[in-house]
Amino acid sequence: MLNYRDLDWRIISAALLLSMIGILLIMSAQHYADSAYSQSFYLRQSLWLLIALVAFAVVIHLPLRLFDVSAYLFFGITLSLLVLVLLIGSSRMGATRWFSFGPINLAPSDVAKLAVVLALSRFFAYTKLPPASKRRLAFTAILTLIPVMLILKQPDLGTSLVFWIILFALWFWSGLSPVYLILILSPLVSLVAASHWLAWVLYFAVLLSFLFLSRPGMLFSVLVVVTNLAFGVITPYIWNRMADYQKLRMLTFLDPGRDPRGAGYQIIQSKIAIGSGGVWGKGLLSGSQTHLDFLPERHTDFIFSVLGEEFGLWGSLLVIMLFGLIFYRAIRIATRCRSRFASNVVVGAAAVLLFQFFVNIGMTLGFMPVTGLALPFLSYGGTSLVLTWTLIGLIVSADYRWQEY
Amino acid sequence: MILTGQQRLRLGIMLAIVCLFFAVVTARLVHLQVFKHSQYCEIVKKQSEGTIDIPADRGLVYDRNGQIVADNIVVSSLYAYPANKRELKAVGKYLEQLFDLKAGSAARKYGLASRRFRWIKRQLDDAAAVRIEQTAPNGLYLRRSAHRSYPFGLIGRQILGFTDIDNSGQSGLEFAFDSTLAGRKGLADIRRDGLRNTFRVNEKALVKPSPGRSLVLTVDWRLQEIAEEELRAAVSEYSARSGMVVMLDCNNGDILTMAHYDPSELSPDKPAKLRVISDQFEPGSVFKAFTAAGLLDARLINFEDSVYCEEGVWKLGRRRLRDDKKHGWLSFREVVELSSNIGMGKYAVQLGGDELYNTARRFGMGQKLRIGLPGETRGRLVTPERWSDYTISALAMGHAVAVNALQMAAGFAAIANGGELLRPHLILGSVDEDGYIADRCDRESIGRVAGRITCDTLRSFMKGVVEVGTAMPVKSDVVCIGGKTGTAEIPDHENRCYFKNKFTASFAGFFPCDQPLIAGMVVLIEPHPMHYGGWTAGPTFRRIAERYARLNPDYFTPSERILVAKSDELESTVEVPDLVGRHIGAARLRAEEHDLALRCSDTSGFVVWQFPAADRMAVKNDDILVSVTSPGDDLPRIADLTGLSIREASAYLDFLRVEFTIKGRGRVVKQSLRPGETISGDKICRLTCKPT
Repeated sequence: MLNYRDLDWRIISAALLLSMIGILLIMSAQHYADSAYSQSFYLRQSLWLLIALVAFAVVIHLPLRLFDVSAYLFFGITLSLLVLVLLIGSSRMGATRWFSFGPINLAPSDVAKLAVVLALSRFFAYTKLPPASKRRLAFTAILTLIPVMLILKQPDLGTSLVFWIILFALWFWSGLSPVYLILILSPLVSLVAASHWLAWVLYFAVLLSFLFLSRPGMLFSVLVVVTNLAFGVITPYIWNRMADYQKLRMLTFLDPGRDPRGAGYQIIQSKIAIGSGGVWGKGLLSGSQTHLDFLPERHTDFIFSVLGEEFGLWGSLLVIMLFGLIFYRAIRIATRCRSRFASNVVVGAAAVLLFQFFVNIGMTLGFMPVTGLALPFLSYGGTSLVLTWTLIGLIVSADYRWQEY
Repeated sequence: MILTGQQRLRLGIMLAIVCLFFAVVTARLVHLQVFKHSQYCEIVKKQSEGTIDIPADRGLVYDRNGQIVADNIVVSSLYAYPANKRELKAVGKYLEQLFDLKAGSAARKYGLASRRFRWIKRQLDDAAAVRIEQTAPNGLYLRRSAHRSYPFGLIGRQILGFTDIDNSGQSGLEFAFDSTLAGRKGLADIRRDGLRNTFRVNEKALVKPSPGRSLVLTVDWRLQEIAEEELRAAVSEYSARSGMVVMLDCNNGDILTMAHYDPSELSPDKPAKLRVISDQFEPGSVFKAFTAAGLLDARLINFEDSVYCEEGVWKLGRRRLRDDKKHGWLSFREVVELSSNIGMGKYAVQLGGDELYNTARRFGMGQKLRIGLPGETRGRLVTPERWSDYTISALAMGHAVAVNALQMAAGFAAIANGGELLRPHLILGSVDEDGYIADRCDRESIGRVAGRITCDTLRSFMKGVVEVGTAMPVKSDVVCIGGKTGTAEIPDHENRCYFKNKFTASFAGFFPCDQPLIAGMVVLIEPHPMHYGGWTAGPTFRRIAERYARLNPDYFTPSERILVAKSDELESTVEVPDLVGRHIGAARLRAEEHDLALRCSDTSGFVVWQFPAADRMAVKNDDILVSVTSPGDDLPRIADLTGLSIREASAYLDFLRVEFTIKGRGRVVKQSLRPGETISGDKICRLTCKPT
């Protein structure tokens, strides 16, 4: 039996508080909705919270080794689920992301996050290859790429980014030099810099001098330069191949005011909601933006806007501080764990939560593109909540069993 | 896990990244929620809050009998504004069902597209509106608005004017009293939501709309209907270009009807002006009534005098004044009855320009009557500084002066009511919250135009005009009409002369004669071939008067006739002729024609007063008591009053302004002033009576 007093109650209570705030906000967001079904979202979320807490309890009771041992098996099952969902999943708004069981929708991409965290953690915990070895980098990249490709097929660009973040976080945490990370990420910069020839030339000068100074090895350097060149060249091509809504999202991200009634509408309305909330907020159920249907997706992607409008700066900061507490604790736990696997799992789980947190809030605040990533704990969504609590469970479990190898 | 130095660095970097993220988010939050807070609040206000006008009910308009003549109706209009493809489809399907269209044709027919506003049908009937409201899918909506409706159609529309699509008055009464009728718009808080629905937040309005006040007009819509009908008939019967009619209550100035009719008028439902008050014309001979009033008031008329009418042509300097018919010597009464230009001209020259000008001013010529409707003209009356005798004569017969029909009618109303020019008014009052008439418009006197006796005399003259003068076709069996005809040449401004073949035919008058209630005028522009006022405008006036009198038998049936004519005396009663203005000799002859005797002490002079009044019934061989002008010493002589009833005697003495006392009852047997004795200011006549 667990000794409950030794659990990390700070993380648990922060997570619990965030979940309850989420239910409160969902209730407020749909309070004046047209259908009784929408109005009952908060009840469904409460039910999901119970399920998530059960999952959490199960996770902390299971030995960590079980996750370690079954990581690849779990990964394999998840991959088959991802394939299955493309074949028999239900489609909504042009995306095939869910298994429908009556009123319940399960998104295997959420499960895949957990699977990738576990699989990568296991690999990095036991590999004997040096951190910068090409085989190690290539293998982990391919491991990540498989679910990413399946999820991009759905299509779901935002979620697929999460997996890269897990990979980068674990690369970094398992000893890869930041120089390599920067160089690996450099083609993305090239992509952006290619929009103007002068910027691209300048960027290349910087890149080459960086390569010269850091000397990461001949093959790697050539690869970096080639991919950078390729990305710079294929930017226009990619741009033309992008779906209209993706282009719009990009453009809208760069300039939300360019189409205030169209694609930029969500971002503008979200900023208006948060800005008009002020320091003290308008009070629960009093957010005019929320209740007058100006805010889109207000119980899911834009739940933070509801928070900002109705509870103002203090409410937002409270939620941010709760998240901060979780991340701070997670990093402390990651450094304390004796088990390499446990440490990796904590970092991976924290990376998932941090990335989603940052991208989602950044989106509502208008400095990140609209990706459709949910805010952990707060956004309405059953599988997301269960996954979040499972990740928290892993973190808490790692902390509880920190002495285990 | 034991931390190596490198791992410490990694930990540091990770913490730094997390802190950076948090710093960015916090900074952004502070930026939005603290520094840009007021700016975003403004935007919220702008995009979600607002006020809408709540239209106020426009005041109604009633006629003097309480009939609603301008009403409000609620009109629903159907429009489509589908939010998306699904709604668009539903709307199309619904419309196809509603209007029995081919499947799939509605979208093209109405140009439907999502997020686009389209009127489907304006002004639906109520039943359809209710049905649609209950069954229409999202994307199809009704808009309600109040509109003006005029239950009497075009009748009286020239007075009422019209309102535009926003329900604001554009002409006539609707324009002039727009601020009264319109009321004050209310304001309501609304919220607009992100799905572009608007809805009222509070049931209570921010500012309550205050409905416009309803107005009660003096116009009698029954008379208005009659007048317009007769006018239209007259214009077509006499082939006139257009016509006007106006009638007033001569005792208080209430305008009872005003109308014009011009078959060439383009949109009679949107009348720009009311010609009765806006169109000026030279009145012609009708104006002689005012000239005559001036002459009588100035005491320039000796009823026994006659004037030589030059057998039709009078050279006046280098110009000639013509009569329509050749006349020799005419008394003043006959000058009026037969409308002799020369006779009236000669008298007017005696009166002089200044006095004639003053008379015309007193009658309101050249001045606005200010009845409150837009477009009223003042007419034109030039000052008499350099008038020649010819100009004076021309003015006397109603040329060289421009008037509008209402001014003339008001002048005749003044003559009819005993000499007081009243301001004509259109508004009886407004209706207060409890439904009572408030702000009642009072009788407003502008001034005195002539003495009471002058007016009595004139009225009797004008009755003569109808009976024996130029307006014989006006004589009616139903109601006794008095008036004056006018047939004026229309001025040709281009050639500075008059058209020889274009005339303004008019008749201005009043009825019933002995106690006038209504005065008015009918004008026909360019009737042909018959162009005499007495034969065109006159009969129109008569028909209107007759129809109105039949509608109101209580007012217009001469009650005395019934009282006096008892059944057994019916055979032996006769109608009393009108003797006023006639020479005593002629009067005696006329009385004898009617089997009546004249009771008078004088043997010369003209009759100025008679009792019983004309048109009453009297028993055969009864006496008519008359008073005549006494040319010699200017003092009247008293008649023999014995045998008269107290009523007769006192009326006579009243007229002569002699103080008197009465002793006893019944008929006069003795009088203290002997018959034939002259009357001076301080003499008192004591009458002794005994019952017979």
